[in-house]
Amino acid sequence: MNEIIIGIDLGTTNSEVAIVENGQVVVVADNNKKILPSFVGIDDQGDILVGETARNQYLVYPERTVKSIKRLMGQDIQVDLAGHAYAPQEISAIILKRLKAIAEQYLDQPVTKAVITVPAYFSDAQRQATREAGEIAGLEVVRMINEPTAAALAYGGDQVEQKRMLVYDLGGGTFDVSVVNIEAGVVEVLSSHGDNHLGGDDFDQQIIEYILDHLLETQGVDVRQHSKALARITRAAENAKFVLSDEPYAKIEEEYLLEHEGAAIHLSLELSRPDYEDMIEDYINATIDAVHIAMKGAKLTPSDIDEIVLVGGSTRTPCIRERLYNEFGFEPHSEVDPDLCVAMGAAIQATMISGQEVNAVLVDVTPYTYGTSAIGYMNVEYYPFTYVPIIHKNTALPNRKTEAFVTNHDGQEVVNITVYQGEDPDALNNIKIGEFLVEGLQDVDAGNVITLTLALDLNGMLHVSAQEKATGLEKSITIKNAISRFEHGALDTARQRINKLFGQNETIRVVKNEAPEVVEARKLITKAEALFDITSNEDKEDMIDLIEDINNCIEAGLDDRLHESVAKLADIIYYLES
Amino acid sequence: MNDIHKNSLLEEFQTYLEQTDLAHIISAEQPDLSTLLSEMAGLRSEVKAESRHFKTTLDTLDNALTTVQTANKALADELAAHSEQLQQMRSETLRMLLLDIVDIYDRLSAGFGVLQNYHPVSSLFNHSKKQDIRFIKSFKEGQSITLKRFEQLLQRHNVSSIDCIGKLLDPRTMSAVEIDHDPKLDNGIVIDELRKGFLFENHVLRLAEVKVNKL
Repeated sequence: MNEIIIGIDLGTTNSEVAIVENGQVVVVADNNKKILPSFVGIDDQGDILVGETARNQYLVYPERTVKSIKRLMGQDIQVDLAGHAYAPQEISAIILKRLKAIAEQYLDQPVTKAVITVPAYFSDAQRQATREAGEIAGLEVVRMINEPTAAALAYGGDQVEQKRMLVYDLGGGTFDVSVVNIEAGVVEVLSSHGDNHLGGDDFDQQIIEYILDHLLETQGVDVRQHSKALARITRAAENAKFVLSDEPYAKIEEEYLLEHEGAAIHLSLELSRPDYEDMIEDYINATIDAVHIAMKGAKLTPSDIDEIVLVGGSTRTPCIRERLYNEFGFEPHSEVDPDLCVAMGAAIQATMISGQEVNAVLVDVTPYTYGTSAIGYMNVEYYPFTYVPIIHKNTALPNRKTEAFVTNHDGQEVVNITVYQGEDPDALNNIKIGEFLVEGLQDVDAGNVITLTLALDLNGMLHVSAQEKATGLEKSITIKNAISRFEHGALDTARQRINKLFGQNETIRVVKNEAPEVVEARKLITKAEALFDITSNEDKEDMIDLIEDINNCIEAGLDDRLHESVAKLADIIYYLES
Repeated sequence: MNDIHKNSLLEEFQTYLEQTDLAHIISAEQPDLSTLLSEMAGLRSEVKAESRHFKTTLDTLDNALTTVQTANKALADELAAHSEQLQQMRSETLRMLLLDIVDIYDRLSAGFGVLQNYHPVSSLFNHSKKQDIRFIKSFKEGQSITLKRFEQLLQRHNVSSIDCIGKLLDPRTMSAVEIDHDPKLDNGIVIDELRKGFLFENHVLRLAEVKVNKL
């Protein structure tokens, strides 16, 4: 039995363990959960709690629960846990031991070796402490790799060609950005920057504040005093954040939130993506500033970066992708689950060390961008066919995204929806793959909101639906083979373009599938014709006769005679060449 | 065998010899032994070749059998794995559905709580209308029946609620989201349930979110 080396992402907030099984990377789940909160605690009976259970008691028993121990790694201090002092590496070891046990249970064999990831900025002391934590947990740390390195590996960083990647890692509570250089399968971190206290939890808090202000304003109730209602608002805010990753509006509705002056108070509120993006703009600006600092540290400009990789659950926020696109001019990658890709990279590294085969993390992605055209501005000029991408290239499938548009003039009763495939900012330069009308819209002023939803499944079926937001009036179409269609379309376009260049007319020659003998015969004819210059007239005459005969046989479908003539011609060519 | 029988056989043999022309056997040339030997050798090598072919065929058959057996086993394993996967998927789908049902149950319960807190106005000059009181009473009864229906549905699927209030915090089934200070109660006792928790087949379906006493 092969000795298995596991890959571990030992995070500040969460940790994961991954292995490679039959060449495929698997993040091992414990009780259907792939993410283990990085919490350690002791329960009433003195038993050790790791993960969610420890987190559940943190608020009541902080004296016997430890969280975010990673922040203390490498420091010469002791943390108190139920009256006993422990070094940070001992606490980390408890988490590692739990991850080891999860892997062992899945594999049904003991595990003794691991690759563990650490932040790029970790000092030697912090790395040493992590190594010790592994040893205490009974794991030989065969290698420690930087988190951005692991992310790059999950995105095929083992490739030979040289490239520079920007790894943008925004988790629940921490942010890191790194510039890495990949050459001949070696990943090197050129620079790194970050903020230890910035993440998706801050985004949730902004939405919570927004809801609380709304309730105070509209109902005159300060919900901060009502625990149950506050707990429901917290959940609703987090849920709204998730919805806004794919849709332009999130409806936040909580019925019977609380009772006030003898009446039930309900929460019903709509949050639009632009409003949400305004709330979190300062945080996003801070991350973009950090990107600039990291780029400066690596002495590089945006044009030197070949790829951007998004890591951490909070990178699902669409404006992050847009901001990075504006900075760098190309789409960031996010197809590998951003919560798990560091652990996956660690497992890939582990497998490479043990000399086994490993495939890159396989994710079904769309190879093209899908969008629609709208009136807008292109190169600062008014243009009626501005391309608006909805499902971006390299998005994991299946996927469903919605964008909002508004009518252009008062009393507009019809909108024409055109769906394109491609990346050009001018919609007309992309391939039109579908078109339909939505008729019978309300007779209202310009600005009537129409939402357009694109849903692309694994079989390449693109379901497009447009809805008038105010009335729910909906029209939809389904485009089959949306993924392959462009390939054919593009081929025809390319062929026509090349033909034009060579001054040929645009008729497309239909190439039939020919039998292998015929293909061979044609090759032989070409070869014979190339030899005409060095051939005596007598031989040439024979060859011309044979070529003619072969052509006749092909046309008439005379296989036997074709064989004979081909053999004769081949003889002459052999004689001439030798 | 008696003599008569023997004699009769001898006679028969004699008749046979007399009647049969054995000239060709006698006149036939003696066989060329070296040709015979070489033919015998040829025959031998042919038999050997045949038996080699036969052995190869047997080996091929054996291999084919092994391949079929291996494929069969792989197929059986695959089927077992798929059936397990299907079971897991079913259970996961049911879990998700039950979570949604539990969420609707929560919301209905919250509405029912508001109805229960309703008290008709009954002051000296101000009274709630009788028909309003009756309407609200019957609405409350209806809601109570609907709630019971939900409870029965959950029970049928082995979903049970987690009993929290007054109990010591159990981090395996409850999550402490708020603390309070009540000197009359022990440390770690659950004072309030902010969100009901549920068990599904003795596993946590949803954690209870609780307010806990902290001394």
